[in-house]
Amino acid sequence: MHAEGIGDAECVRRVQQGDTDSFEILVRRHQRAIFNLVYRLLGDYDEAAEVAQEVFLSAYKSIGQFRGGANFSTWLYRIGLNHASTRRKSLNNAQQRHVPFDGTEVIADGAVDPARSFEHKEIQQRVQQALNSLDPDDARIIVLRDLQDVPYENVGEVLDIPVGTVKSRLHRARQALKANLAPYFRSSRKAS
Amino acid sequence: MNCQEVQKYLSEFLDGNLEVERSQRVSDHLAACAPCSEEMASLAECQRLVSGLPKVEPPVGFSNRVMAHVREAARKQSLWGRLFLPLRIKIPVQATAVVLIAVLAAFIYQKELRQRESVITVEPEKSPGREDKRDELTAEQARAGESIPDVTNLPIKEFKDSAQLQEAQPLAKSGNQNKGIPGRQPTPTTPSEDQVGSLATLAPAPLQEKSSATNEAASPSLEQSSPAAETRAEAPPLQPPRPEKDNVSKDVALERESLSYAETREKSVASSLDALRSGAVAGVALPSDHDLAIRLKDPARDDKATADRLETDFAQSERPSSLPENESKNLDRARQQAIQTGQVQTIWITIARNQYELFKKGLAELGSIEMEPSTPAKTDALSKSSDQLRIKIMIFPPPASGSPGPSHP
Repeated sequence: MHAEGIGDAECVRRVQQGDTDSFEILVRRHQRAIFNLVYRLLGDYDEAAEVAQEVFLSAYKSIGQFRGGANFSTWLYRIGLNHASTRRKSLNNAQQRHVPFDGTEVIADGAVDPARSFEHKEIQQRVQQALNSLDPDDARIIVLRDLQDVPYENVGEVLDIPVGTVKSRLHRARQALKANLAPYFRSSRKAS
Repeated sequence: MNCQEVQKYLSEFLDGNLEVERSQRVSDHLAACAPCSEEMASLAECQRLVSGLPKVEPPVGFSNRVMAHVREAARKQSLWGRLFLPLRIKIPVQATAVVLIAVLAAFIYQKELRQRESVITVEPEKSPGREDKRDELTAEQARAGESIPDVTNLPIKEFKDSAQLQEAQPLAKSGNQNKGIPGRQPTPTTPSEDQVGSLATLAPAPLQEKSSATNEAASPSLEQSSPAAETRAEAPPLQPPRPEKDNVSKDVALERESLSYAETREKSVASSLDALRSGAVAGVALPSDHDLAIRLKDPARDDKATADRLETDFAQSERPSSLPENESKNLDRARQQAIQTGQVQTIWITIARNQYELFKKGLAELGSIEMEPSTPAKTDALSKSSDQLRIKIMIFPPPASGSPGPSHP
């Protein structure tokens, strides 16, 4: 895109004035983060692709309501979390959820040894399972903070909670994840 | 700093978000406390595992697909925007909803209003042919419920509830004790005072309530009487009871015959009033100008030739103005029913005013006229302004049928 240097706020302003092409800049800029956020919360690649698409479409439709009080990324994360939560509930209700294992992680991991690669793959699968089995609030805060590396303040904005609550809730979520992953620590240590 | 405090800060310590001094104290504690150190290692491992999850690339062409949907949505929005955005008017959903609800409410109100107005309709042919059915209270109530959607809004006493009807019964019975006519069917569809009042607002000349003594006297078999008859008994008469002498009735009839034809000039007014009088308003027949009770001849003697002769007589005279063909058929039909069912049949017939005597003569061939009120039921402006007479005829079956029949006054 010819205007990659334009900031989010300017792109949003242009879109609000009817420049649909400026929204493509925002899509390209945030698609990876939103897709990973949704993917880790849902654990299914195809579902994540569909939901991420819905997230951007919803953002476009309601971009007129975005007043610039927060970062566009924060606003987009919030939309992404809402859509992912809704889809996760419907998937849970339909009992269609399954732990994804589509090989994407293996390719990205770059492991050479097949045995070690398989072990890495298994660990990643277990981590994803542990994330999926967490309480949705705990899963959201861990994905935002530990996977997306979103600062505490922004996590608070996305989840609409004070920073102090972010800290305590993050601690609680990590404790819960640790309890889920405790049996695999040894193997993961071996693998690493 | 004890273990409990350290546990509380472990997550922040892991993220490097603690103040330098507090971070140092936690670090010192971890170095000295094996359990806390183990806990710290576990949390760090968890964080490493999660953050070590590989970043997944979106599907190829993801942004293009998103933008395709976005452009489609933009097209739809632009259609809407062409209507509103040029004016720079932002209509909130709530305001739009309020406007829509208001419009809908106004529409429903108008429709309701039109329905109420259309309830007052003229049914010129239906009411006389169905009088036998209207004699039954239940049938009357059922039909009222079917044909009139909103009974509660009608100013017609005919649709009063049963409690009010029960209140009217003693009044009717008391009238019957004084001057009752055994076997006489009450006028089933005579409107009450309220009805006349409501009709008077439509008609140029006010209608007056018929209040003869004979009409006030209800039948002994009140279970067959209609609500209108009972409510009429409840309503106070607007005129004093008429004398029941035949000669007075005849005098008035002659008077009516001598009414000038100049009054027929008022045809424009009279025609609309006639339409009202000849039909039924919301299933209610208007009062008649004359009441006649005829006892049919014995079936053995009263063959069909009699009726044919009557019809022929009228046809040969002045059928168009005195007894129209459809009225003649109605009369014959009622007569046949009276013979077949053995029950009293009541019909209303409209004839030319100057044909009344001729009509009565023809009627006498069907049987004996056993009751004729001495004065016309209605002598109001409406009657005078019209050259038509509306006659209520109660046809009693022949004596062999077992009907009690009217008693001579």
